[in-house]
Amino acid sequence: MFGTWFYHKRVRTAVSVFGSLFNNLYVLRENSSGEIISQVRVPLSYAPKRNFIERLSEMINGEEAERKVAIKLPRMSFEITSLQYDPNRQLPKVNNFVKSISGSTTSKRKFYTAVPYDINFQLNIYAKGQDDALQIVEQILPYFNPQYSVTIKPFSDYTDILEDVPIVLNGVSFQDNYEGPLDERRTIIYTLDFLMKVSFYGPQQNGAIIRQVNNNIFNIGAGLSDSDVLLNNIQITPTPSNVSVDSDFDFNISYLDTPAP
Amino acid sequence: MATNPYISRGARSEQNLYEDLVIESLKFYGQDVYYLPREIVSQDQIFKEEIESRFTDAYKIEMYVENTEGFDGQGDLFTKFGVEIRDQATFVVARRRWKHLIGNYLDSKNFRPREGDIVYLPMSNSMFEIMKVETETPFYQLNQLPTFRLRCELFEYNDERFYTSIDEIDEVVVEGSYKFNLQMATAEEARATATLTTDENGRVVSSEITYGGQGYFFQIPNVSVSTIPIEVARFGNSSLNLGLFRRYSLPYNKEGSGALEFFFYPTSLPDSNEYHGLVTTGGDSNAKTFIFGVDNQGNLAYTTFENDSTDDLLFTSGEQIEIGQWNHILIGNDGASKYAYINGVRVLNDSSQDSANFISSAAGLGLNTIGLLGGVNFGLASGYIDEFRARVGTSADLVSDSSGITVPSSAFDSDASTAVLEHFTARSPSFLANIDSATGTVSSLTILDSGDLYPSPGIVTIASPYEQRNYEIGETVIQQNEEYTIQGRVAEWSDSDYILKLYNVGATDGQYHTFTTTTSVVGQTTFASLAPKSVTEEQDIQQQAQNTIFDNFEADFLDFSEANPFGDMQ
Repeated sequence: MFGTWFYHKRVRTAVSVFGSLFNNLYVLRENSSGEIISQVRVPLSYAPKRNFIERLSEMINGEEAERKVAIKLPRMSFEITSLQYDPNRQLPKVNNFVKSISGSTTSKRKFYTAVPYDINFQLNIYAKGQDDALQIVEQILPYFNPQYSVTIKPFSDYTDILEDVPIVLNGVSFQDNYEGPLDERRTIIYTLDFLMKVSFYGPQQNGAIIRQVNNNIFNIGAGLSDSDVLLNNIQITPTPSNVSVDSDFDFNISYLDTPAP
Repeated sequence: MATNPYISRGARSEQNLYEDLVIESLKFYGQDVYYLPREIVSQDQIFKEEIESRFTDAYKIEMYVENTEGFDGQGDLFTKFGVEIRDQATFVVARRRWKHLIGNYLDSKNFRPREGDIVYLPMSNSMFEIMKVETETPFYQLNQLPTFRLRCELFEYNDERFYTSIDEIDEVVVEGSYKFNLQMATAEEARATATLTTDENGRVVSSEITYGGQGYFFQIPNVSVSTIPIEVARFGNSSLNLGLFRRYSLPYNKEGSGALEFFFYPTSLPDSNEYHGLVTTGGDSNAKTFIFGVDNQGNLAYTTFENDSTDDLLFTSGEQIEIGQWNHILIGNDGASKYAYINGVRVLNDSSQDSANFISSAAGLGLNTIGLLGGVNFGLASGYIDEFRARVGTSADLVSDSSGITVPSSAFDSDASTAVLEHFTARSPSFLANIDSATGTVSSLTILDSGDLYPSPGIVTIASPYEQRNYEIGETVIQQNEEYTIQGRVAEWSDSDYILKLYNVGATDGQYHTFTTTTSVVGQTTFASLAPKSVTEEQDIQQQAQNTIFDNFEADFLDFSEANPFGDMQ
């Protein structure tokens, strides 16, 4: 029934947008005299992935390094946890906006109202020490009050179409299993739940551009057998004639005594 | 009821035997491992965590690996943070051996192995962190505790420092650290460059620093200039290059008869309708100013400034000046007529025109202006002059044989009629470089000797600030900036592509900084000193990190008319 292929990569873009927010966070460690002894740009990755590719990438340092350590910390990952329709942002479904088609003076591209959805993201921060984790958390929290908006370009072909996308921080929780048997590993993971308000667009449609308007003016009932008698025709056309949707143009108005063809 | 005093469970001899057997068994069935005691360099007093740990010692000791069918634990897990290996192992080590080989060398808390220390198992190339030390297992056999049992988990690497001098251990730092990659400028690329401007006498009048270089902080570099080419000199020394708006004026002023004699080496001849200016004569009350030049065939041509068209141009004929070789030329005036010789052949004997003065200070070689002169389009002579002589006297004095002269086969000597003798011995200029030690650049050159007859444009070479030394793996390097010093440790150095990889990078002011491209990075052991051209950060800590990928993507879909607040920390 639907049948028209289209793919605006909205979820893919949402993942990239979310990743780009947190790809430049650092953990700095200092010695007792206040000098920095190491600074780490915290690695970030999208959590769901093909496990064999991950395994292969770990082989890059050779056989001897493959099982040398359990994991290298700190690191962050994020994933989509759910998508849900947001009726509060739904605009009238027949609303649309148009953009010109490059090189065409007879057609325009029509975009219908998008369908609003909320994408829930979960960002996880895994650190060996509390201070490392808190450095990362503290570099994030102040920007969300509780939302932070980014402006994105939803269509790669139409980079002048911009869309503000709010990202809301819904909550922060953490896990620190410091209690228990001595030989158990302590794990510190902070979990930040975000909600990104995105819009899904359907297929774009092409429509014709109205290039001529004819207005026939009749004297109602003045003719034989009460027929209408044409008095005048007003024809309106754009000038110059080869304009597109986004062009600046004026109108030619012609008054004709005969009906428009 | 008390224990039976006649049955002893703790006879010293039995205990010793038992312990010896345990040690022997561990030597039979154990593995050689390295025990790495942890040094806590700095500690968070609020959270009670180590901020910086380092492992600088490695003690080799035998331990028995209790696991028989593989390590315990959950094994390889695929988590949301990637692959995590949760191997667990249990090691058994003899008390006496541990104390003898390790405990005695530890400063404190040295009566048993310590949680947090590391056991490196070469068999599997794994680093196990001691999570718990069981001191009472097995439990008081013969009233004695002969072993420690170490419950370990595979180590979580968190930028700890390993300097044990055992390569396979220390490599974990290189493999796991967050690194800065510095593309270093070579010594040649750091070298400052300058250009020279010379006047018509081939003396340097000014210099311009075209690139100040980098790394000129400490030593004033040597400045050398290109050697003076002598390939086209007639009898050694050097020659006067006329094709450089250079004119040699006669340092002698006299009226009367005289002649100019020299060797001319044209490197090219003019196009048609153009002439290369070679000699100008002086004017006085009785003489006009003549210009002698060469046409596109090598003929000698001449005119006067008073002429106004090429119709007035006068030619010699019969002998041409040859391109690419030395030609002997003699032009003079004996009071009655002008005469000229090319390679000993007389090509001009003209008494119809006004006389010319060849021995005044206005006379000389070459032109210092070009264009329409005397109605004729003159350009610069392209070539060299050597062995110049100005002579006074009549033609009889100057030319003994009116049918010709002998072309000299050696350098000119002065004689009674010689007014000026010039072999054009050039002298190189010399300079002193002035450095701006704040920026590490060469700011200017002071001319110590302007030189003479130096070919223009001379090539000046300012020595590189760097000695081409190599950094050493593991050495500390520092880069001093105005407000802070940033340092790191060398993980890799390539002397072929000049990439320096550093780990454990940090600045002294407690802030995030990266290396700048303006100052040099100095090795504290080798004193190698090069400056970076570019700095990138390498995320080896996690192979699947996508930070850079998101970096590269974000321009495609983010509108950064508003800046990304999560952007740079710099």
